[in-house]
Amino acid sequence: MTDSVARDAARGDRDAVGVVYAALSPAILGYLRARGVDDPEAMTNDVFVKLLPIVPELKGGADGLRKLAFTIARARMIDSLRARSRAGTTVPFDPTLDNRAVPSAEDDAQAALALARVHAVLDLLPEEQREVVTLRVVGDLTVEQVAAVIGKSSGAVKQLQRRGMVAIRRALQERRVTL
Amino acid sequence: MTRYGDGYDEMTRGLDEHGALSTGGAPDDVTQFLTELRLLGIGEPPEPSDEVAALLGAPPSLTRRRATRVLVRSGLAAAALVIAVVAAAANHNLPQPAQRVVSNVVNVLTPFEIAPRNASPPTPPTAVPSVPQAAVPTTPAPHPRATRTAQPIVPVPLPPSRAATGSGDDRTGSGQPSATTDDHPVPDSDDGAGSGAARDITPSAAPTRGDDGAPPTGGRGDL
Repeated sequence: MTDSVARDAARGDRDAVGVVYAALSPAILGYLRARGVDDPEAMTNDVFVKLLPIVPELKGGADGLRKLAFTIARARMIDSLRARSRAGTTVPFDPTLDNRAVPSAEDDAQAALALARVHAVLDLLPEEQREVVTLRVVGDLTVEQVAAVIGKSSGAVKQLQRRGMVAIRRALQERRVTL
Repeated sequence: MTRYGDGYDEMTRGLDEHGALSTGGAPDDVTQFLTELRLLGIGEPPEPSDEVAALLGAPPSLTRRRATRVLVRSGLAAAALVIAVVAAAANHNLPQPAQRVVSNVVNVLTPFEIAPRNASPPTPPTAVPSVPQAAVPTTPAPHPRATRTAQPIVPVPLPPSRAATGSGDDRTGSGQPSATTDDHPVPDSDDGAGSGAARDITPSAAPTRGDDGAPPTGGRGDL
């Protein structure tokens, strides 16, 4: 997604709006999945329901659009996690325990296992480090963009990122988590 | 598409700005983890919901199109019904209560006006003079059947021979010129005079008495 696409989308060009959705929605969906939201697809749609009407007022080009999209997604994610904490915890789906699985669902099971491994590693990190690593890797945001999304300085984001990566390496080295 | 590209080296270079990955350990495991984490954000866009699809400008779903079609058809039918009712009201073809309601609505809410059906005032409750008391010809009360004879009735002179004998077609039987013809029907009187076969006779337009004041004699109109 380029600045010209963001400008065209701000002018109401339907094709450009479609390009914005195609470029941002997979990253938003992946971010919400990595953060363990219950229904990431529905929440991704919610993010765009909120985002698209205010695109014409947006300034800052493609970077500003991406930053705003993840800001909305993060706010929705926090609301969801708070609601879940009030309503009680749910047990994530474990495909290895589901005997209803059929061979045609193998890909889905593999994806679920990969997601489970990612969650196992991320759960070892403190919340802020988890947030920074997820936004940097899945959201493809720069340090400055992450700083704007989570409301911290760029230096703080760099420090959180470094500590998070060291913790991940150490956990994998000590085989606390098996990939 | 992505800032880091698809290679692990580029991706980890972005994350390793402060040497987090260069401190030894198991780089293969870290690489595998970051790859799996990165793949979460790469893929097909999720199926947009109806609300998002509307914002994206996608054509509405079949159900929504069908609902729109039904709505348009209902609107057209309602408009046709309103036009038909107003047209009927303008022609005074509705039942009287409905006519009043529709006329009031049209007159109040629209720049058009539906005039009342009867322009003439209602018939006053005056008694029709009876035959013996009527000394002079009186103008008959308005009657629905008399509406097509608005012009004054002019006595038609008869030939002297017929007027003198009072016979033949002189229905008045008074020897006076017949004041009516079939072209000028007149209303019936309330006293029963001129009823039956004499309905076409005008008892009020024609003198009901002779010139001498005697009651008329003879003639079917007095039966």
